[in-house]
Amino acid sequence: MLFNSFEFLLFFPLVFILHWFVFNNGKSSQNLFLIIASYFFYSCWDWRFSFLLGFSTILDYYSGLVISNSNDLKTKRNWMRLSIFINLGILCYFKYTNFFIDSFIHLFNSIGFHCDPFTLNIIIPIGISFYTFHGISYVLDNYYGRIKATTNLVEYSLFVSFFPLLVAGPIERATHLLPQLSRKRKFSYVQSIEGCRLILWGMFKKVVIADSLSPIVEDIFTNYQNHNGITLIIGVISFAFQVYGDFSGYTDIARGISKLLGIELILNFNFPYFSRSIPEFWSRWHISLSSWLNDYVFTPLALKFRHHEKYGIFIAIFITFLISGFWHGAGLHFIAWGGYYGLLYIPYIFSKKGIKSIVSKKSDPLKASDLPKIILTFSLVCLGYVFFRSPELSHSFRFLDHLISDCSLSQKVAYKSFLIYPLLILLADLIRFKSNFLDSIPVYILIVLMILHHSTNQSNFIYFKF
Amino acid sequence: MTHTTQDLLPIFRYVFENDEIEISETTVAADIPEWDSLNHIYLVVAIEKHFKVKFTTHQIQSWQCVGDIITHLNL
Amino acid sequence: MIQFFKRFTVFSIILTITLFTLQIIVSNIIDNKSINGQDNLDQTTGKKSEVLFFGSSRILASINPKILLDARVKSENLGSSGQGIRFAIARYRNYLAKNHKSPKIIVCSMEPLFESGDSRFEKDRFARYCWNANPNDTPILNYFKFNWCERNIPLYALLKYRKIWDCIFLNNRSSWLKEGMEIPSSNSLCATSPKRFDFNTIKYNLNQIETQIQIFKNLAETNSAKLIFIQLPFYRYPIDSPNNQFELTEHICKKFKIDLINLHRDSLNQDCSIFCDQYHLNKKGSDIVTNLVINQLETYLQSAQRF
Repeated sequence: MLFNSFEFLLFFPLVFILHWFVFNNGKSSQNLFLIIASYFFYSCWDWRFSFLLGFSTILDYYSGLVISNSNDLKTKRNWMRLSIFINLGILCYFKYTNFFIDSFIHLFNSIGFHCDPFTLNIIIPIGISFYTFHGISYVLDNYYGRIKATTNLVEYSLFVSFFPLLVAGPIERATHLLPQLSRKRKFSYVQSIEGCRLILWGMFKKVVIADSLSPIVEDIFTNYQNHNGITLIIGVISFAFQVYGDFSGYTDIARGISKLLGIELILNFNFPYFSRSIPEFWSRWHISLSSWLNDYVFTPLALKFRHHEKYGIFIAIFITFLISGFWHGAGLHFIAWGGYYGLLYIPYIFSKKGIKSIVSKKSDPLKASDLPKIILTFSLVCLGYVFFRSPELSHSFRFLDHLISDCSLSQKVAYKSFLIYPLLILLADLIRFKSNFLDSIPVYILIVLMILHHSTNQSNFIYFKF
Repeated sequence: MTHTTQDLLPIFRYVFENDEIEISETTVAADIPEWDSLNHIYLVVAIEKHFKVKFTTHQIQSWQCVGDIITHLNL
Repeated sequence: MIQFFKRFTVFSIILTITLFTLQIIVSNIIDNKSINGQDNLDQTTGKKSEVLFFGSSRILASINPKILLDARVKSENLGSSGQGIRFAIARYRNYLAKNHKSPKIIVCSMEPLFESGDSRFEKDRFARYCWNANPNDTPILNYFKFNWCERNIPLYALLKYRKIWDCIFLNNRSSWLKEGMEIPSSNSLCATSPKRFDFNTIKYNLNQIETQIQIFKNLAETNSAKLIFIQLPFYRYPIDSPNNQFELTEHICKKFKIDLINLHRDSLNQDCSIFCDQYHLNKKGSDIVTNLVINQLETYLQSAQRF
């Protein structure tokens, strides 16, 4: 069930009431109830894959115990590798098998060996990209001694299957979420009000902004041959706000729901389109994924290649971004999108300024003089979106080729894409700063009316297919 | 020879390009803004070069604070 | 916890009152008015018409009740864009429920090719009837499959189907209110060069159509009305070309013993000056077709008892 569905409107209030009024005796009853609710939620998508989720959970839980309790590094390493191998194996099988088959067939055909195309009838389990990553991070944190394995299967199961983040993230860490699950949650008025606020604004970003931009983007990307270059640029910019509204809206709803259950999830977006550089963008966009890849892919790779100095760093970054692209989808255009960002790091790594140019500067306050950098960074991000949004790689190149042609401006779309929707998204994000003019009942009533007004634009959360 | 934080301090200041950095055995990455994942790699390389040692990946990844670095240096 | 529920309850109450108030205001504004022309469920009450016309936009923009009235035939054009015989039955039932007596003649356009009968098409035009629905309008709401929320949450249907602004500002008042039909464009198709229509791309379910025809015929006979089918001109389709789906209409009418006013003729089909697009007649075409219909109807009306 989607967050913006009638079924969830029935499901969640029931969970909320039962959680705080019936199963509130202690952390065990709270956790057990939430696991049941989470598996029920997941089963509504496809009950068969609940078993896969359960298997992955038990595998990683047991691996963590063995790793933590063993003093032999070889045993630790073997169990770590086994767990990661199985998790990645599950992920690759369900998500990437047909991609590999297609790629091999294409390769053989291109060198003269004819193969008949075939694909396996594999359904991708919802959320597999997310909960396998939860498990892998837990096992690796155990292996590196960052955490001690939990001996409570209920707590660990809830960490993996907690329903607000099960289907489309954010990717939580055991170090952040497990401690919250290992104590009884107490109802907090402030936290719950914040949760309601986040849910409302998240729905606003998703339904009013992202879903309104969706048909515009769909038309422009599908019928790009019939549109001029300026319109294609507008389409790409519209997609930038669509994907941000969609994904950050979903994350806000997930965080809001968690707050209502007394749990804090990590922030996943931090005004990413105000970034002044590509490295800063990746410290503000999909923070949970980029930090996961940073800790578990980039750092080990960079350590392995550290003696190759800047070239080693570049290879590590490039491979990390290729993996990032591949994680988003089984398609060459996603890999190209990832590789594009890897290449964008070249000036930062090899410039004479050296390391300082690549260090995250998100702590530096924004200045008016940063505007050109912000526009440039946003433009580079939008260029990457051409690959991300296109259905296939060849489409991306044809789209870009067509983008160069000239024509008249589509004013109505431009007006919405450049002005209305970006402003609305900024407003929706400013709610993070609580004491402002947006925190009032009339505004919230207006938001509800706008969500209802746009509720006919039903489209899936983009990141569900990941 | 037993190493201390005073032996590491010049390396930290050189890699992070900040002469005002101070470290102790309990200093963690979050305490120093410049200490992110990339600078961590350069820090490791600089420490290995200076002390002519080679750490394993498992050791490096298990470092939680400056004290852990010193522990492994003194092994 | 109590404070949270208090605040949540207060917000919900204020929201509900706001929705109710706005719905009541809007309902008052649109009371007894047709906003989009096709939402005329209340405007045909007590009219004592002799002839009713049903069908898609091809009927809605082709039959001029004022010309019929000049020929002393009281009629109502109840065509609805994108709709076919299934909607015609629902609309006829609604008319009967509000008038208690059927007109003598029911004319419905019967063209298998255009029998989409898709209950989602132009659904938004009827969203205004969702809230506090008249029981006689419920079958229409059922036809369009409006759900519980749309019918019971104040303002929801108007917001969801984006009709709120039309209702508040009445800025989409159709020509139907004044003219009794959707006045077509005066543009002539002769100014453009339309391509030949590919009929093979259209699918229809003949079994379903025939089932509906039987229902409609039974309903008309129960109410002592004569059901007549009409087939309107279509630009540039010669009658004798292969795969003539328009011949199917004659076959169906013979099978069900229903009279057919067949205006699908070469003399009309190949005259670009009477069309504004391939499917729809322009003002000139509408006047011509209406007069042709009057000629055909006079025979039926003479044999029926006039009001």
